[in-house]
Amino acid sequence: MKRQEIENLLEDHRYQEALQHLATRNPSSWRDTSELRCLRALVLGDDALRLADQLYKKELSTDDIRLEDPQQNAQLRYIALVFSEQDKAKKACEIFRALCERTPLSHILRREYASALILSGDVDQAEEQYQLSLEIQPNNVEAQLGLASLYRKSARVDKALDCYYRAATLEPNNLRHLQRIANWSNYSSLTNRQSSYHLAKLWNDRIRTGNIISADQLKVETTGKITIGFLITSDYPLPIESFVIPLLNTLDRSKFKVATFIDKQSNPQVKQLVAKASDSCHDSSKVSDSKLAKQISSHGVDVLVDLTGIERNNRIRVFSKQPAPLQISWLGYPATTGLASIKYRISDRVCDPQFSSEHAYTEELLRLQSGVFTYAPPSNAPAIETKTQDAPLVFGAFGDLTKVSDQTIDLWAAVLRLVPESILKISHQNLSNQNTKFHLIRCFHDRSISDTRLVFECETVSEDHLDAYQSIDIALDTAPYNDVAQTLFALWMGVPVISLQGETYASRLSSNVLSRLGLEEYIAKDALSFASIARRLGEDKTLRNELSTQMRSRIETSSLTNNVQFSREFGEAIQIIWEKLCSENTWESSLELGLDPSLQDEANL
Amino acid sequence: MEKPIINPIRKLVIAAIKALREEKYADVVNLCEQVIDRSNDHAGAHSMLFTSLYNLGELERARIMGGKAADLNPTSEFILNNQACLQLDAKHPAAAATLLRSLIKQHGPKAKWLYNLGLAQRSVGSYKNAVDVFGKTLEVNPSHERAAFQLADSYQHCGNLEMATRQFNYLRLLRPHHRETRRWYIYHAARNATISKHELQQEISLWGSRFIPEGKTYPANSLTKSKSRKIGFIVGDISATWWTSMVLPVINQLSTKENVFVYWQSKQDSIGKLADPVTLINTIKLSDSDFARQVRQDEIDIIIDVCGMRAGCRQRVLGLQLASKQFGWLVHEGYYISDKIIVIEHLFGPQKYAMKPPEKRATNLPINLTTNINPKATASVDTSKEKTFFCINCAPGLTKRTVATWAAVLNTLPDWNMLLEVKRTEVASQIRNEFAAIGIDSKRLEFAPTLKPSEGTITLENLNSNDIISVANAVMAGSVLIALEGESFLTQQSSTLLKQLGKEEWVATDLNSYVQRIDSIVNDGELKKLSKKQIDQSDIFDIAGFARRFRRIIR
Repeated sequence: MKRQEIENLLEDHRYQEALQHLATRNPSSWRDTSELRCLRALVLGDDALRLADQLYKKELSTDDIRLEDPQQNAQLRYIALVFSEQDKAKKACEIFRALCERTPLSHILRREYASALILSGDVDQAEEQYQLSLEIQPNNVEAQLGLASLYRKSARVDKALDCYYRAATLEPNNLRHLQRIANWSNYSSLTNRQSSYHLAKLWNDRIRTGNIISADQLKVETTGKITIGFLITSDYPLPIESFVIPLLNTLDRSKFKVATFIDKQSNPQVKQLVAKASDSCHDSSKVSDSKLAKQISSHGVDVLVDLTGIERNNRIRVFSKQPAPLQISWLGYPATTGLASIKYRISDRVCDPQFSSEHAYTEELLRLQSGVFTYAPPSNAPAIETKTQDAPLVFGAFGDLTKVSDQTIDLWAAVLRLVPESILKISHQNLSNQNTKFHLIRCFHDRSISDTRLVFECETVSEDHLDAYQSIDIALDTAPYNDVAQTLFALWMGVPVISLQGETYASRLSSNVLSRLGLEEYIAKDALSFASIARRLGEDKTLRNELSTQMRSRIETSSLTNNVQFSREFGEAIQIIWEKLCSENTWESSLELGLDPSLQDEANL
Repeated sequence: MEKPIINPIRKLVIAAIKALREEKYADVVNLCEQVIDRSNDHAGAHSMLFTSLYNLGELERARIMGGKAADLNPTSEFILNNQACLQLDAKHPAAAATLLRSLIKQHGPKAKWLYNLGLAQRSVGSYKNAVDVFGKTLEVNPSHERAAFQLADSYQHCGNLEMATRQFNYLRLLRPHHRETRRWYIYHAARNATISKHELQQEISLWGSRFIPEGKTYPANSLTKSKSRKIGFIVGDISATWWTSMVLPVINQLSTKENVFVYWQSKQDSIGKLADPVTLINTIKLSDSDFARQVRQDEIDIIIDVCGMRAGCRQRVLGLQLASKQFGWLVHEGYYISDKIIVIEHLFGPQKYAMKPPEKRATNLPINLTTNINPKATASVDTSKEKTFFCINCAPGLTKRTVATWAAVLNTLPDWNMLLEVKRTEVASQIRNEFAAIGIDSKRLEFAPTLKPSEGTITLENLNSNDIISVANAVMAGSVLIALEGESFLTQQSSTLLKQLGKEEWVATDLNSYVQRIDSIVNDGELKKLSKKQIDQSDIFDIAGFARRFRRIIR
């Protein structure tokens, strides 16, 4: 086959065929590059890496990289891309750096260089490369998305949203951008219930018809146990082990069957725990959304629970196909999904006060008495140490930097102003990036707080590293999206938490916890009261020690950890809505719309 | 057997119904009027009469009798909705609002009714209520483009700048291909100081790449090579004060030696006194192609754009190289869509601005923003208030960053208060709430529609919105003014002016030093006002000199 014909195969993405024909060609730089391209496209990582290594060694064994030859540049680019994807990011960066020096105005190279830099851990340089790529070519959607991701992780969610909006105007038909905007808006202090609702509804209105599982295929059995299905996709935003498994373990098996559908988990133990807590557990990690929907319906799931909404790693497409007669939203997503096929949402009176939040959801709210979730504290947490030394007061914030909005910094700065001798310790792995640190320092500086009052630690505090809480006196929550996981960690480690209660569900999660523990006095209504509470608590060491020593028993005796009570109420709520559906006796699948095929299965935001 | 006597009214009504079915509206009108003559409160006749007048296009007649029709037929969607629209068109928003609320109460929220209700709220200046109603409209129909625009605009009017920008962004989702929508976003984001300069540059580039065909220009051979130079000024929707104090004097001065054209792209009628040689052409209604044709026909060599991304924007045309030389001056965002337009400020030295002295400026200018703050408050403002900062140019509202910075000032100087120049109560309310959210007692804030700082006062200018005329007025009057040198062109204008006046010490380069500068000036005791020598050296009132330099640069 002629070279041009093989090129045409490559353009048509017929990589397997192209590979076969390339094998018959004489060795040449072009052939090697094309072969590498095919191996990469076919996701034959090992073969691609082997070839890339071989070609790179050949390059290095001659003179320095001959950057004058465009053919050679193309080959080097693919080599770098393969290295980048196969855990050799540093090598990839070397190649990209050289290529960018040779062709400084290539926005594609800059972008790919940025991706490699992120993988190699040099996020600051990556940001610079993304900026350069966009200076050269502002239409560069991938660079906008790359930069957005970077901004999110470095406490600049509003800038990330601007990038997503830009991407959406560049590709208005790509609904993933709108999905991202709807999701990440929840983290922005400019979002209220209404604007969140607008975005969710807009997204929902735009997804297309098709592929709904027909009502005939769904059986509504009015007798017998109700099968509740849980779709578990990731450990984000709330750890499955602490929030979901306690429910699965305590649901009344005389009334319910529990089926779980679980995607690949970063922690393999979680999968085992889920399987143990379920009556049936199914691996959905390599199953497409359509197939999973059919699988769920074939397993006779009566009530399907969504734990992710349109957060990262979501499977919202599955829900749009209505694989179960009833679908509810719980826990993971702090706003309405906008999906008409998800009819209910589990909540409570603190997160969604009566009569004030119904209009913000397309789902009907089911408010549970005991609270919106149950919690299992970490079993291997270190003991609480009582602080005896007189040291400067240390406030701590160990949560997700994506949740550190302008409003959050306003609150923290207000505290530092009102408590002049204190310091604020912020801990997250992304603080190893200088730009992130610089951004935070600048934000505090703009609020007249010197960087000498800030301590940065480059470690993400998780339930395996709770001893970090021994080093702080009071934990400060984020706003408008509370970091409830960190709130619970802090409390379990005996550290009191101050939280601002806002209007949205996301801004009321921590105050939900504090209310259930009888710690309402640590819920603030505005920045001034937030700072005042911090000052009052800061001045009273005796109170802090008292709270600290009593905290675990307070948690253990509260509704927060009363898994049995929670699962009973959860089950009762399910039964009520199920009986209501059965009594209606005219089950129809909702007029739900299927999703635009431009949405990809990886669903990775 | 006698025939039953049919009530004449009933006979007429039956005939009217038949005519209505046949769409013989004129007949219906005639018949219904006869019914109403006999029975003044006949609901059916009023209903049919309204319907027919409406369909005949006799809208004013329909509106006049529509009120009664609505009262007699309170459940009729058609009458209530259309009467509400007629009342809105006739500028009777209160009547329209009553009808719409009744509709919504009876039949539930529909997007079109909510939208019209929002328009009624807006037209009485009730922007806060308008925000609420337009928001509800989008709850019902999140793709309602006009509601999305009105919501953004209402936020802007309320001084909620970040939300306005975010809402203009949302509007871009609904109209991604609409040039004006994307322009609005850039205009507001730049003026609300809610994006960085890099992002602004990107947005402007994107706008250009989207709406200007790549690689295209107008034919170069039709660019004039005539000896007598013709300069065309494209004047967009700029403030009347800037026009008369800075732009008009320069144009008049240039016209003494050059052939000057003014292409008026503003909706404002008051143009002021243009010198006789200047040719004024109202081009606001021309399409871009017709505008280009006009300019080419006039054989303009040099274009000066005094518009930027404001209403009246002609950057699309400039991007196709309308004249041999193209410059942007004074009111742009700091960037243009291509390098075919040069930002002229880059070519000036330190003397970037010139304006008419305050005593020579016109006083009867059209007011762009209506005020609903007590106008008597202006007269009662005691400009010798002690320990009060005069915060000028706050009418558009304040960003959170500005509020946070000024709050830091107030926290540093707990004995001091602020008097803010704000024209609308909604904006004042928004500002008050923003300060309260970070712990500043609202008693420390006062508002007045117009401020005239005088000698011995300390003036602060809105960090997110510079107005060099106001700044000049304040410092000429003897006030000390502290400005922050912002990141973008728009937020650097005041600091640039102060440097031109030889007052670098009044310019801070970051927020922290801004607060410190104010603190030290307050505690300094002696407020060193601008001297006459500094005024003279700045050439700020030397319009002729400025015009000479201007001419030199553009040639």
